[in-house]
Amino acid sequence: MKLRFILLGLILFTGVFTAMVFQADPYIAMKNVADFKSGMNKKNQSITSMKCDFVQEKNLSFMAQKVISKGNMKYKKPDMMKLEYNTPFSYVMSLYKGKVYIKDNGKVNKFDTQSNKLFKYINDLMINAVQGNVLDNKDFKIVYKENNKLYLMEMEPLQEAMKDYVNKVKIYVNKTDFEVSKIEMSEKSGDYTLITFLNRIYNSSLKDEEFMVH
Amino acid sequence: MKNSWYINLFFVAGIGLLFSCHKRQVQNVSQQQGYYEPIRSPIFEKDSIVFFKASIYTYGKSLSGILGIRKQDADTLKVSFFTEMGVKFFDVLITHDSYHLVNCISQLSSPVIMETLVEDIRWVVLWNITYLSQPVRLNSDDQDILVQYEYRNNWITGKLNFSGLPMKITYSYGRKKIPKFDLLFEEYIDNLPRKVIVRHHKFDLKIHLTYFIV
Repeated sequence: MKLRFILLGLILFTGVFTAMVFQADPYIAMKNVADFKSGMNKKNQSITSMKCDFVQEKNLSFMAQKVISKGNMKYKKPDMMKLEYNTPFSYVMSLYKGKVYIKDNGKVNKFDTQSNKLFKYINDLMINAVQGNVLDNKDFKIVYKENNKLYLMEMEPLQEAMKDYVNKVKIYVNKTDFEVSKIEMSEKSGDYTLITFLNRIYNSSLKDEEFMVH
Repeated sequence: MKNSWYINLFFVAGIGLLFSCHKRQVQNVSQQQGYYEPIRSPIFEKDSIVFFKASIYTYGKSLSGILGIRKQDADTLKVSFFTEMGVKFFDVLITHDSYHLVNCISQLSSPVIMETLVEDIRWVVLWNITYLSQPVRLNSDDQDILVQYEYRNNWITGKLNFSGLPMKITYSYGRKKIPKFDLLFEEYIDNLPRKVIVRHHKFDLKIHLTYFIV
């Protein structure tokens, strides 16, 4: 009997210790949401443009496989954004004056964002998420969390139709400078897409033409 | 999502499938008996999983994404199709005779669409070659080998290179051998086709697949 208790104790200790090691800096409810919102708004107002590199990790639960893709991103207020994937394939998606331009397989296609709700939803989400401009967004239920280094906004879409595509969006924001460091989009299938932003440059002069796709 | 272009895209494809009226073509070829070499399927020789950048064109519209195909075991393929930005279109389990949709967005979940795509995927990775029978060589050309096989009362014509690797596969059906679709395998590197093109005859559907390493 005594041995059983010792073994149980050991198992519990190992479990708790492992959990502590793997989540050394756990997320807890944000203490001061108002300060966070104020910091984010201030950061947003200071940004007119941004360019950066990104690493996208698509986790395929069904196939037990990850797909890593890399590229660069440009953003210019109010609504221009260009994503260029360089590896392992070439693909360009640009939002330019209400249209979505896609360059795939050497061909350029143009869509109206208004005519395609999925495109509009994902693109709006990306643009707003990159800026951290999702506070008080009525399309999502947002839970605010933090750990020692990062703020975390956990967003659940309220529209049932959109849950088909995105079940939860997590936006990670650096505590030091209120920069969005990564975005994680989860699906009900268990898949997730994690986009990490690197080498950010703010407020460089980006011409509108740079968002065109030829 | 009533106005989604996905609906338009596959609705048109579906209508095309149901109402197309093409000239029937008869292959007049001289036949030479006694060809026993099988078509080689190089796709899973090195790895049990392959990824293709996929572009689908139909009736002036297009859709692109990433197609992941895993050989689960001798009888089953696991297939995921998702956008470049990571949003899932579908997960499907494919066997020689059936398929099971695990996840699928509503716009693609119709049997007409899925049966077409599943059949294309089976032939892209040459999943069905063990079901080929009664090979007949159709030419005596020194350059390429043209072989016709029976496949469950339909016909598969394979244009093979000297290594037995397919360069072109044509699926035909009926007594008059009416072509249903072609697969073109291009740019073999290390026995893997860097490009595969699927071209349907009965309706306007073309799929470009470009292999990439993750």
